[in-house]
Amino acid sequence: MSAKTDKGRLTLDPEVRIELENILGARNITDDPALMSGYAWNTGVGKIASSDKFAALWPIAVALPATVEEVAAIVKCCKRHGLSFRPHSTGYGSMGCVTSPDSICIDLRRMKHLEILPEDRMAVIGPYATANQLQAEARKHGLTCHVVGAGPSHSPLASATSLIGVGITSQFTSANMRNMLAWEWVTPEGDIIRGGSAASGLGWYASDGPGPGTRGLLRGFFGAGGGLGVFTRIGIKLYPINQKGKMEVIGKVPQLRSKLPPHTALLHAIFPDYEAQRAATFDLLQDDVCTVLLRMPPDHIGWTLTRTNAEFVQRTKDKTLPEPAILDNGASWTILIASRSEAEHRWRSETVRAIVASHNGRFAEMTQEEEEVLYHNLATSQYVPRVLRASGGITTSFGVLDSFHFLPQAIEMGEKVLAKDTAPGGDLCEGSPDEQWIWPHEGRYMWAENIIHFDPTSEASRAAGARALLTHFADQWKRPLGTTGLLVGPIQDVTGPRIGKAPAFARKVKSYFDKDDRSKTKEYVIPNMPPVVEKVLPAFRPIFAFKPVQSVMAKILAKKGM
Amino acid sequence: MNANSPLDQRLAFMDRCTRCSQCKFVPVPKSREHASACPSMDYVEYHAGSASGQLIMASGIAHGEISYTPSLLETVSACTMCGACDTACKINFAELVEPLEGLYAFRARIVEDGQSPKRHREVMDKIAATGNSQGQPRAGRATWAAGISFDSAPKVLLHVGSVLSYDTNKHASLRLIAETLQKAGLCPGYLGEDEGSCGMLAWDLGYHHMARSLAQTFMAQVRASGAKTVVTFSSSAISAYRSIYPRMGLDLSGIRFLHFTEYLLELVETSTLALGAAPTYDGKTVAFHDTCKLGRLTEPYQETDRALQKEMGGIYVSRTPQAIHFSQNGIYEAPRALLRLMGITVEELERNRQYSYCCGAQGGVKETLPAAAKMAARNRLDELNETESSTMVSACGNCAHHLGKHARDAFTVVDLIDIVATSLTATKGGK
Ligand SMILES: Cc1cc2nc3c(=O)[nH]c(=O)nc-3n(C[C@H](O)[C@H](O)[C@H](O)COP(=O)(O)OP(=O)(O)OC[C@H]3O[C@@H](n4cnc5c(N)ncnc54)[C@H](O)[C@@H]3O)c2cc1C
Ligand code: SF4
Ligand code: SF4
Repeated sequence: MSAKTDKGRLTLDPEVRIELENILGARNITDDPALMSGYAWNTGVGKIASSDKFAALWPIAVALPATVEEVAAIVKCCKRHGLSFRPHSTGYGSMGCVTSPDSICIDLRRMKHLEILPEDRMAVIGPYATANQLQAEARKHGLTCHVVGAGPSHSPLASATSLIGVGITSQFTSANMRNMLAWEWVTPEGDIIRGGSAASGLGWYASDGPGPGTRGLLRGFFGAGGGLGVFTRIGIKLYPINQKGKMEVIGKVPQLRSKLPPHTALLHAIFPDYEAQRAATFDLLQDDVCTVLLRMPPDHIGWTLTRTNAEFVQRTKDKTLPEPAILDNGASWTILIASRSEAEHRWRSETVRAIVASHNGRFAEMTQEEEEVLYHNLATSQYVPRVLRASGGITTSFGVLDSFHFLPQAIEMGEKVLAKDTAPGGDLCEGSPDEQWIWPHEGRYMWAENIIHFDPTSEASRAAGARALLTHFADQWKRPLGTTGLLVGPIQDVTGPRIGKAPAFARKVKSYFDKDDRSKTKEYVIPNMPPVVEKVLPAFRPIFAFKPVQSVMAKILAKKGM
Repeated sequence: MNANSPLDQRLAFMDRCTRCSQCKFVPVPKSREHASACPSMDYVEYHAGSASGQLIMASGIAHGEISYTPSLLETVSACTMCGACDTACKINFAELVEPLEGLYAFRARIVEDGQSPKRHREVMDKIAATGNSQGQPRAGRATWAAGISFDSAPKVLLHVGSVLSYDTNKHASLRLIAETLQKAGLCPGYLGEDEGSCGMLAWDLGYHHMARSLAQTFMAQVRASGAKTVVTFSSSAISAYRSIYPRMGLDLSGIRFLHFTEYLLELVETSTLALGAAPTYDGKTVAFHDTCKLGRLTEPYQETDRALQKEMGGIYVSRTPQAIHFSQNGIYEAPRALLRLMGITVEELERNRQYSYCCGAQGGVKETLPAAAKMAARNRLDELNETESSTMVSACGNCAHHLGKHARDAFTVVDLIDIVATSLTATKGGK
């Protein structure tokens, strides 16, 4: 393993290769740089890219297992030879790239198991049963799954076991940190563990029983990001919808649309200000009348309603975009009402209309075609990938998880972080001053996250993206607004007790299951951190929050990426 | 870096690939079984097999991050150049990445670098020597037309294409159609043994100069014939005429290019020909396979400034958005209309029209990696399981032959030309 390529990368020891070939068959293991290049692509999507298109670290090999036993054998092989590994489902963006020079990438592409259990309202899926496939099969039974913002081609298993899990339909499809019901797991030691009643031979329907939740232990709020072994199969919740069967798509590429099913309405409510929107939100949630509530920044609605960037830019300049896409109309909810009967629909629609009116809101004029485009994107969660169309470079703030009381403050924080640079002449792509995406989770709390658009080919723009992220931290530290949902790595420890003891607890979990840190990732806690360092790190907050320091850090990140 | 090299011109587009994997799937799958859009991904399994994976490899070559390896060349050879990835990517990314243009550029670069796979070189040698990829003698190209006399100053020039010319099972249908046209007084012309390759395969394999020279030869023949309409029986040729030739700086003005399904439909609609009930298929239901070349890859190409410019602080904007390909205006309706006119009910496969799944017959895959081509055909045929039909009809001789070869159990594959030929009659008198 000590040999290096001309690029200074570690190579796969022939002995290890033979072992892996014996486990997988020669076709399913590769250390060919060409075949591995797709696992070292530095899109920077969801992060700040560097100027290099390829990651500094490449896997030493990519393995394509087909069974849980093969995964376990790969993990044990890594352990025997002192190698690390990184699980990889669909690898959206660069989030599954290896983070150490001695890592094998375990690409789970061949593990596509997908089984719908309609009576239990759940599915049993493998890592490469993608959201679009799961949704297509679930719809045959009048059900759907939670599709996170990453869109139709991500892995719900990766999402539910290992990475975040927030998505725009959370009002009725919860969030993936709460959607996993059972699991098959290859620990970092290579043991196979099945959680819930699956282990007792009672089938897969198995939420946690009484006592501490294993789901919380395995993934917490954010997920271990590949730092806790490999999940090979899970039970995941499905949710009933008011339509059974295939999704009929109309419209031409790229503006696909779907007809609204019977007893369904797509409305776009606009409020005079964020105070009014907040007040209306409590009423709407209290009466439980909305299937989905989504606040998208107006420019992102504009991207959804236009075929190309050229059309978007032209119509922005001509001021011909529809009302929901006008920047001044930011205090708004796109509302989906999906009912099961005429009577229910009448009641819901009338209640929604009355609540919106009582808070001085109004409904935007939209053509049927626009409604159908928005409905289609909402149902399939195509919105977020479409948002990448502008410049190909986005990152996201660290998420605000709190009561809707803080809706106006979330917008304010977004504006503070972004308004200067999203205004004409700023360093980011022009857009709404706050760029906040907001939605409720199960009618309870608010999720808010601002999407930061930068031009990945411009260092100044990348630096502005990084600056926005760092300002968000500093602001959160100064004036906390809910839990910062998307904290990973050292910044968790710097943030310290403000987010409870989560990092310290997660570190215990990591050290218990993965003493040697073979399951390598940067999207979890820093493993094996001495308690004294853990204690000291929060003291660095003022330094990180110091403007000149932030400015230097932003410049470094713009060069090196993160 | 060479600014004139097609790959370097596309590099910025490739480098914008977000690795979102949408190019691996049809935009809104109707089932998990038939969710895939990409036959090469299905075969290769590593990300490299997808459009995104190939763009990344191309970028790796351009940036000097990787070198050519046998695996790279085999992976690229598994791609049928079917363009399904392009349609899927554009749902989100419109002008931002345009994967198919990147794939064209990558293959051209492979040839430029002298790395073209051996099998591709062999195919090109055959095209150069005989005018067809199978290496069949020129002398046999027109045997199907023995005894038929064609007009020497025609209004319409028939182009048969290499596949049908040498497929003796198709000769009876070709003759029937040519004779019916003559009975209707249409008297087309035909290049006979002088007909050569249309250049589509050469283009797909990355031999762009050779493709251009084949196109030039053909256009000179068309001009010399005096015909103002070219009717081809080949889906590759119609794709080449409409979507590849316009890139080559050739004078195509005043010439109308039609696929035989469009031409026959036009003649039936203007009552020059009549289409009766199909003898074996009347009242039956069949599933229609949209050939990639005939469908999404026949969208007319406009030669124009395709560069992007930055607006509003970094938003990438096409200078000519009207010229972006969205798989529209391909030939989707004409073959379906002909089937319906013959009393046949057309059933749609899950992946149809612009979302069709390639059967593996194109892009040199059949010749280079038969196992990959077979897998694609089997995947496509499996889609019949979701329909009432046991018959799949294709309007492309190449697809019909390839699918037919791999059909199992009770499934059959029929070439549309064979159904149409026996149902077509002239309504006007002869010359
Ligand atoms: C543009 C964009 C938008 C996004 N929007 C959202 C969003 O709105 N909400 C959200 O929650 N997420 C979002 N994400 C993050 C992420 O893409 C998703 O969470 C997605 O679910 C990851 O799926 P994947 O198949 O791409 O996973 P991968 O990229 O393959 O993996 C993601 C992480 O999980 C680990 N992992 C993958 N599979 C396994 C496994 N089987 N066992 C153990 N660990 C595993 C990996 O090592 C990696 O750390 C977004 C990402 C991008 C690029
Ligand atoms: S080619 Fe397009 S669809 Fe495919 S991964 Fe890249 S951006 Fe996504
Ligand atoms: S052209 Fe077809 S086979 Fe090739 S990458 Fe695109 S979808 Fe796959």
